[in-house]
Amino acid sequence: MDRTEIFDRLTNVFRDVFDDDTLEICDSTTANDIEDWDSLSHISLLTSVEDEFGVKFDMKAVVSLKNVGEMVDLIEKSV
Amino acid sequence: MVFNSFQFFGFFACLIVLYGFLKEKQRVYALLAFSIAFFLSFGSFWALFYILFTAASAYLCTLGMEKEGCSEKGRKALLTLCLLSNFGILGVVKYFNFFAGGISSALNRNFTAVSFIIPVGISFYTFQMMGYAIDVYRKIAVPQKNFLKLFLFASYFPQMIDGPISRYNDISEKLYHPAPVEYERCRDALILFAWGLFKKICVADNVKAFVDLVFGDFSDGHGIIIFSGAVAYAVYIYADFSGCIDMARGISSYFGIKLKNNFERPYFAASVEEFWRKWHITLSLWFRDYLFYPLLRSKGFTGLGRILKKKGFKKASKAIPTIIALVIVWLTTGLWHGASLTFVMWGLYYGFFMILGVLRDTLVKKRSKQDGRFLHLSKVLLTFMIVCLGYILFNSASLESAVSMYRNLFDIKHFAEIGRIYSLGVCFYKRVGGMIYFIVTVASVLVMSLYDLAMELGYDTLNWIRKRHWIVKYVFSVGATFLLLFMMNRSAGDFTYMRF
Repeated sequence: MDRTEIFDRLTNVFRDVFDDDTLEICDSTTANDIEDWDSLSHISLLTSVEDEFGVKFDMKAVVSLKNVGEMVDLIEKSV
Repeated sequence: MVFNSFQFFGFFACLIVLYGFLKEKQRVYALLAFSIAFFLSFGSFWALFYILFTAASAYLCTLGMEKEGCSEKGRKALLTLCLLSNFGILGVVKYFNFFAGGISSALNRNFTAVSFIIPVGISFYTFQMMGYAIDVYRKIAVPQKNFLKLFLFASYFPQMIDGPISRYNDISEKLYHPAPVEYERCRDALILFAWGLFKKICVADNVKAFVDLVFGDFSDGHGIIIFSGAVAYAVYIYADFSGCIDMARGISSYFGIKLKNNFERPYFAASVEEFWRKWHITLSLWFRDYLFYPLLRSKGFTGLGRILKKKGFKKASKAIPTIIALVIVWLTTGLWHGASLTFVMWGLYYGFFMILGVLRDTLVKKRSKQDGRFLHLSKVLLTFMIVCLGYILFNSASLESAVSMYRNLFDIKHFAEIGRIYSLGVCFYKRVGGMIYFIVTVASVLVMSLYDLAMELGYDTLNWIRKRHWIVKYVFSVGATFLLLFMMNRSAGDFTYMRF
């Protein structure tokens, strides 16, 4: 799976979790860029990403992921 | 010795004089020596063993985890032992009497409270060190092999009184390589310290007199009296706590060690969730990363979510585990503040509002438009009211007195007792020390509030002052120094969050 495909599928996950069909993400997107991405929705988001890609994030990833780019890197390594 | 005391000024002066002559490695050990001295200034020598135990157990546990051949089970066991022993000690010294007393009362037995030596900052340094141990377990942090350096992280004196609760990775680099004296940085550090001192001795210590009157002699008042007490408490606790944090950050910044700010103008929050992203930030983040997230990621919670999703309750599969986790987190947050039913209820009070937020997000489609100015202002005022109402619980001696105050607050018939309000004003005027101190108090509250408002609206007041003519800056600096010395003369009040 290449990075572009991961991004496409990840965009759909973000749009579903945050209920916004117009949402666009990129490598540098952080929680500060998406209004509803807070600590309450963070776990839902990660769970949805895990379900979509069949990966499992450890607690280091849960608390340390700085942006979408790092999330994509982790997915790339795991699939 | 607290930051707002001449003893501390002498202590800090000795440190910064010595610091200027030392090389980098020596500066680290000077900070350690002064941190130990600072810790001992608060009480018994034996209290040192508590913090030594915490540092030593974290040291041994983390080194053990990283040893070659240590299995995942072994790492988990070491971490569990470290957490249980340290939280166990915290639990016993802070909560033994609360729980044992409650059980004895339920069983109709007599109970004599046990007196424990409680070291200063135990809630703060225990959380900080256990956060370090968990970060090593999660392979976020590399264990510190030098025990004295790790002990410095545990006992670093600017954080000892009221936090902030630091992450090892955030400050260790600078902590172990403290910067040499440099004019601009050290000047700004002292300005930040002075600002914190101003908030503490000109605002907090004076407004406290009003708070003590309302929660004391005037606690049987109604309506406006109780409301004014709640608002005054909001002003007092913010000035006291953020004042201490600013002083801590200023002191630490002198050595080039940046501590995280615990406050981001919280009273301008437009929701309870936003308030807790701006109030006591490091404690909220600690509970998020070391309790809330692990709970939601645990087998029990993910299993519950999966079952609900299978049964077709997609929204509930996210909402219900979140709500259960929030109850646990807010119960713990309340307990962290103290061994008392009022703190537990205060924690659950906020848990209730957080749960309302989860239900709102689950059941109501979000508006895509940004709030207009009027709606935003209404939300800010409503949030502030909720926070002030919570402070009645937070500051009450018992649940009964809190309930009584809430009842009196909403007594519409006696909402504005003009005579008693006037009495309260006169008592406060006398209690605060007369005309000069009354004017200083009112002016200081205004200055603090307007400064925060300006920052919220994007105006950097400090920078504006810096750009004025040197005479203006000189007069301002001299005036501020005289004001602080004048107020220091009568104030050596402890910080509220010290007792946690």
